[in-house]
Amino acid sequence: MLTRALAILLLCVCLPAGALAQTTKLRVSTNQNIDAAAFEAAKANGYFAEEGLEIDTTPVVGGAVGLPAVAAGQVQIAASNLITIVLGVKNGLPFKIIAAGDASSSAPPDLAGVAAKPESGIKSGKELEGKRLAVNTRNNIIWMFARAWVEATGGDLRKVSFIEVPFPQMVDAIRQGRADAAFIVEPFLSVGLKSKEIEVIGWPYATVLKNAPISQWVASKTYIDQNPQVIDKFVRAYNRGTDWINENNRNEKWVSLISGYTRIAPDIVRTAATPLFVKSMDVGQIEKSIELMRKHGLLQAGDRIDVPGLLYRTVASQK
Amino acid sequence: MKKRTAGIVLLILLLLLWEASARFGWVKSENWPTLVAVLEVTYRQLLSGELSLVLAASMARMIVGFVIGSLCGILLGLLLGTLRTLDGFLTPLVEAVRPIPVPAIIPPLILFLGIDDALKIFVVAFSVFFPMLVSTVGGVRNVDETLIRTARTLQTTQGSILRFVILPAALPSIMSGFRISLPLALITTVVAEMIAGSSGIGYVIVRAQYAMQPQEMYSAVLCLMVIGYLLNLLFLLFERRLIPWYHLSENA
Repeated sequence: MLTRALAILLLCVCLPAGALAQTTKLRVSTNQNIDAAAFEAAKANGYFAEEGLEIDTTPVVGGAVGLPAVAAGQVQIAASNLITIVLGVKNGLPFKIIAAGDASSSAPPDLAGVAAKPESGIKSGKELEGKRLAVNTRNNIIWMFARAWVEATGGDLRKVSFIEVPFPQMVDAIRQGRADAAFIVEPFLSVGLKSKEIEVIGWPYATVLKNAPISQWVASKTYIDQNPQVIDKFVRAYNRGTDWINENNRNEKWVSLISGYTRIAPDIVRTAATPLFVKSMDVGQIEKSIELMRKHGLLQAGDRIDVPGLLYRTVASQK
Repeated sequence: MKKRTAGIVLLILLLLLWEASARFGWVKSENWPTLVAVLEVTYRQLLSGELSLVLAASMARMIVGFVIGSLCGILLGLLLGTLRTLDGFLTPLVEAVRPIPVPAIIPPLILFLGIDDALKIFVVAFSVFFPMLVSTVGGVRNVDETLIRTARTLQTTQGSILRFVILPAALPSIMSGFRISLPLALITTVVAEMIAGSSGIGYVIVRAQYAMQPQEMYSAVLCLMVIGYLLNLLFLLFERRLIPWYHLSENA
């Protein structure tokens, strides 16, 4: 009885101090590509540690296991992209975006472009009619913007066939004539361009939606409700990472950080175009993306998405 | 022996063709490195210990999954083979679940098993289970009825019949189940690591592709080849020890 009372007393006295001193363990699922740059910067520079967070990363490559892992409570925070997040929310999974990741730029060169052989004569969606356009996966963000670009440049979507080719193989697919064009992301795009065997014929993001939201950081509503301080700390540290990435853009420290966690050779990192790393999200941009999702059949007319409800306060505020 | 030499010559010729096709630009791609470059990377990573760690992680998962899956398969196979009523009850279910390709069920499995070892071990065990089950049932069914009757006549108990008559007689069939499921276990481990991995050889292969390090990718593939080959050799040695009578007729 006495020990119990003592314990409660101790708890009351120590709680504020204890909350500061104690480290919280967080498991985070990340994609080991350029989108994770700000996160990796925050980790490497010790920003998470300064907030008392111990980060255990579960890196994923080329896959989409982040959101299922959050839903299953396996990881607390995961990197994902707006399309996948919205589809998850539509299916009743209670995700919230806690930190903005990155966005496409407003003018070329962008983080991804449509490329074709120079001698093919393909310059727009119109010339792709009856031809094959490669995307990495159907029903994702790349596929959706590729479709929107074909339409915006005069192509008839019913006449263009979309084939699935993983990003690393896209340049080879064009070279060997297995695809007539491909929507390729960096760094594969700039390496392919160096060979002079392909050229960029369009920038779907800049054409369809400038500064399109690309990747975001997500947690489940349950976790956020139970651990609001942890989320605050994570986002604070993460945003410092974003600042670091933007301040050090393309200097040697920046190149070695990105080359270090992606394992991409420094020379390739130096020449590849990068996304914009942002700290907040604009409701209008999200609504435009959702409109595109409806137009291309990823959402049905009856699906209601509460856009402000997608954003946790750490990402909605324009600080 | 002569047969083996011819096989090795073909292998070397193919490797030389690989080297030449990359060196002389017959295949033009950033994703097609020379064999020499691949061997160099393999050597360097073996020295640094990086590759051995990765391989050890994958092998550990594979072995645990393989043992669990094959034990379950053999046990249930013995039951189904001997108990007719249970067989009628379970066979439709087994036949329905058996053709499911493992990659197709990984995403829903993540919800239940997470993305760590539990998932990968389950997936390996799952893919090993069915060939083991089917070959065990087949082995038990084909046991010579006379053997069992003879044992019964000699007042042997049911348990002893299972242990001393049915199991040894079914062993060659069970061993062929092992032989099918061993490479399957290796393949499934790699596939699972590719889909939901953050360690292991499958993860390294995908990561190398996305990092534009094809030498590293092919070095991992080469290692897999060697491992698969060695596993098969080991297995054959083991089989000769376990069921020597089965190979007697071959040598005679």
